[in-house]
Amino acid sequence: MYIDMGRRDRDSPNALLPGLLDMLVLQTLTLGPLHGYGIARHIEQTSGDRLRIEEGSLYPALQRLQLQGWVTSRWETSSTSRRARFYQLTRAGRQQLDTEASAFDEMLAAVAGVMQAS
Amino acid sequence: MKAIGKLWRRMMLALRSSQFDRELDEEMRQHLEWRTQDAIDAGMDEAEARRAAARRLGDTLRVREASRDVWGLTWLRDLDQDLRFGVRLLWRNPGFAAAAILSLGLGIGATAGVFMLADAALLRELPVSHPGDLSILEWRAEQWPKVSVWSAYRDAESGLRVGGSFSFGTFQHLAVDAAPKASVAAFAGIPKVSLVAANQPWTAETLVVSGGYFNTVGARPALGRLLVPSDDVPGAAPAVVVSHRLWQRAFGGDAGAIGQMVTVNGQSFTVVGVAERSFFGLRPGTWVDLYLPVTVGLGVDPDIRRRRSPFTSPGLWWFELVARRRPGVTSADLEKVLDRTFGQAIDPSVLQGLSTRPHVHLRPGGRGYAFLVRDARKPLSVLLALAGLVLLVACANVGNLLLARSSARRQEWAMRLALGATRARVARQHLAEGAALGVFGGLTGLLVAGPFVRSLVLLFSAGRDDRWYDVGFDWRVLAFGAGLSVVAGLVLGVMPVIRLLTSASPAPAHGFRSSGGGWRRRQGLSRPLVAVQIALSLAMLVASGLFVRSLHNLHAVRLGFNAEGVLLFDVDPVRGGYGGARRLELLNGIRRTLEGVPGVLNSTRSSMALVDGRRAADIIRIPGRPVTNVEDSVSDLLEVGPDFHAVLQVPILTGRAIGERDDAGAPLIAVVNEAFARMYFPGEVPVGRQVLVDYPRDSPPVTIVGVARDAKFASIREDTADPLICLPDAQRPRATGTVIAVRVSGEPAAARGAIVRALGRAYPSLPLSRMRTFEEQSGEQLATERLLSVLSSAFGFVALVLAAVGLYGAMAFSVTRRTAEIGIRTALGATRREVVTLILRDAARVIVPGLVVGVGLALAAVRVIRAQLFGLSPTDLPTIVAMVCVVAGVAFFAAYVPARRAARVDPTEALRAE
Repeated sequence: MYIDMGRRDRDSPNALLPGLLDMLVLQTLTLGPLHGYGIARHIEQTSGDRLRIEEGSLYPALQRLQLQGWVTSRWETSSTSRRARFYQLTRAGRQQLDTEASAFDEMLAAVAGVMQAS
Repeated sequence: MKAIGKLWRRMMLALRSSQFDRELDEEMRQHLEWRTQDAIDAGMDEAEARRAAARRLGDTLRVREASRDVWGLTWLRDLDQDLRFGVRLLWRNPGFAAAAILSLGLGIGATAGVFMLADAALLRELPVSHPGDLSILEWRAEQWPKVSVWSAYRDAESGLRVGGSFSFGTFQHLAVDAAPKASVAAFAGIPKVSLVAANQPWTAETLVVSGGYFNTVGARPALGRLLVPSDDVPGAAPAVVVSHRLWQRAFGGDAGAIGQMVTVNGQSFTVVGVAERSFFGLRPGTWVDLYLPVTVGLGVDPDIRRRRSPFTSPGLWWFELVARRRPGVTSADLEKVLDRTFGQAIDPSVLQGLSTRPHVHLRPGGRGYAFLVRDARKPLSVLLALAGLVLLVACANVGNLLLARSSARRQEWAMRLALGATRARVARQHLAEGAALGVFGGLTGLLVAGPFVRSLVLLFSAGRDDRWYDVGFDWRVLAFGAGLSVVAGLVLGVMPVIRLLTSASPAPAHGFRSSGGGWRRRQGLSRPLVAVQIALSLAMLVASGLFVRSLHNLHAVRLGFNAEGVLLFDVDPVRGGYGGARRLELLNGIRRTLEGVPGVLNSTRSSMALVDGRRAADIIRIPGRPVTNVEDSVSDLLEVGPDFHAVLQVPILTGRAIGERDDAGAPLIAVVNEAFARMYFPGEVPVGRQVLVDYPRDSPPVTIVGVARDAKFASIREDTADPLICLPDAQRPRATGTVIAVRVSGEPAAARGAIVRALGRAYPSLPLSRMRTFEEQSGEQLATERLLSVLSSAFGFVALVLAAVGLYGAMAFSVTRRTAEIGIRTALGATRREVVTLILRDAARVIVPGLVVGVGLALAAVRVIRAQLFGLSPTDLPTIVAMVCVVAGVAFFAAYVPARRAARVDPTEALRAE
């Protein structure tokens, strides 16, 4: 599956499940600070390579989350002793994740209900 | 809250926006590298891995743009570019830029300057703590209560009698009953006192205040302490608080002033404190220097000293009251409580014959008594309107220049649009240019406003040291100036944009040819703008013409006495040590001394100078005739020395004047004016009749011995004479200042020195002050009129110059455009005169409508300034005609200059240019 979250407009009708990328990023960051590539890799690995992020939309998404105040970033030296930008979840981000996750669960349940009924 | 956080993060990012791209690029470079490395580790060929990684990330430029867009950085960068572009455009045409910025700066500066003054006089809150909690008490009644009231007027709209002062007894009741809801304080102005501080004499504006005054008002001390209730009880040590200003002047700002003794009208007081520097009392535009507690302080007022028991007299309503509401108490709540108490406390004797009682009404007190600054309000609003018009004309002018230029730049715009710029972007560049103009104009305006407002203050307070405005920049002035700049900038930017958006789709192929066609079609907005400028400047010049003429009328007014060759000066016998019976000795001595001064013809004295803007009036009774209506039983009152009428050359119509023989022992007499005779003795012979003057109480009747011709009394603006009764000052014990009038032969200025020297020798301790001629005195009185004429003329002139420049620009532009046409006409045999006529006729199509509209505007506007005019109708035809001629002349001259240039067009040159 390929998630296209590259559009600036989250309500764009072309986007399947608007806001999904944001939620996945927030969820990933609950593990601790990570750089952009790390986030992408984590999502790929935990989904067993079934979810592949369009990387071009990852960085605008990270900016969007920062603007909302859900994520902050800072430059730090990574384990391979190279400077990289690390993203970290804020308290507001954690709250947002809870909201989005429960909304997502509800939607999944609803979709599942429809699919099983027919 | 959320939006604020977002805005904050956006701003922080914008500050380091230059890093943004670098950091993002670095991030993406690392991303690619890691992805490539991972692929190589997974066994992929290096080149292949690199390509795959790049494919996954996509176009890095697009990622960057998308990331920037999240923050609105793209928009910001465009704005930045546009602003730079706007400034660069201005920079490229320094002549244009200077003209535009200066025009705007003058307009904005003038408007902001007048606003600063209005702000200080009318709008600013008192410099006390929580001014919003203050309320001012007044009463409203359908009929006048039978009281002697300090401040009251009849409201023209409601017809109600409105008073601002109460009896002291009423105040005490109100203060007690309202205590749970508010603290109430009383104060009353008393006549200027003679003060001796640090062994030097001064005169000081003085207020007597109840003990809680400073606490209620919310003033703070600069030094020492302010008055407290325990200062205001019988037997308390006499304490006085001085203003910061007086402290600086009299004590040189010495902290040792606290505890020093000063004498006020001969009574000793101890200085206990200095009020805060900014505290001037409760009346913006005036200044109080001394604050005395009521109980001891009223004793220094000689008028009150003569009255019996001023505190308990229910008919003396002399105290103004101010209240500070306690937290949570609304004005309506407090008003209810106060009015109930007022109804109970009011003495029945003052309500005799009245069907309703007065009711308490509360006014917001945060700005003090600013609403009473009526004499400043009207001229200020007129000035503000005039300055605003100048700004409007300036905007129109700059707008016109911009329009003319944008026409010239049509090709450039066409080119840009053809190359793919959006209209919105091009429009924004125009707006940015307007904004740049607005900003620079606003800055220039701020520079202009300072000196301008200082000269305004000088003009406004000319010769009156009790007038004072703390004029300065505060947030309101800055906001006002910034608002003006923004509006001006927007208007300037929008005008070309409207043209741009309404013009047909511009194809560059057409844009390159620009000759032919009148300017009517090309400059849709330009012509009406010039016409509007002409109309506005005409309206302003008509107003200024009216002001100048009424000032002239005021100078030329018939006074009813001979003001030429008279010198006036004030003496203060009490301060000079001539109190009580010695006062008359002194005044007669001055008279004799002056007789010996070369150049002096004769001299006299009076309790106040004629036409000095002041008046004293009292109730008059005719024995055997009951007073039916207080309003109809009043006369102005003047106490005069011997030969008063002779020295001022007021003709005596019947009977005799007041002379030397009318001294303290002689029968009590009076001389009245014609208006007095008409009012109290219609159809009778007034000479020989007796009248009672109500003040001091129980004085014996005086006999009228003469009737004098009516003359102006308090002000030269009086239309009709009011009744006036003159009493010999030898028969009236007084203690305050006296005005000496000296008639001299020749130039009054020449006699000044001799008079001062002679009196200085004879009475070294006697201070003389305000030596002046009537002309100089009326100059002080006419300060407002002079201010209006000077400023409106200046504004009108600036507007006319701007309009002329605008017209010149428009016509010059038109001539350039029509060069080819003119060339053809000349080639076909048109004479120079015909060409000039052609251009002037074109200009007339702008000028004439402008003049017509201007006359209409002027006629509408003069209604507003009617009250400021004197001795002429607001639709004064000569003024209007003269100003129309001036404006028309200047306008046609402005058009004639380019017309002459058109006439010199060489036909061959013109055609070749085609």
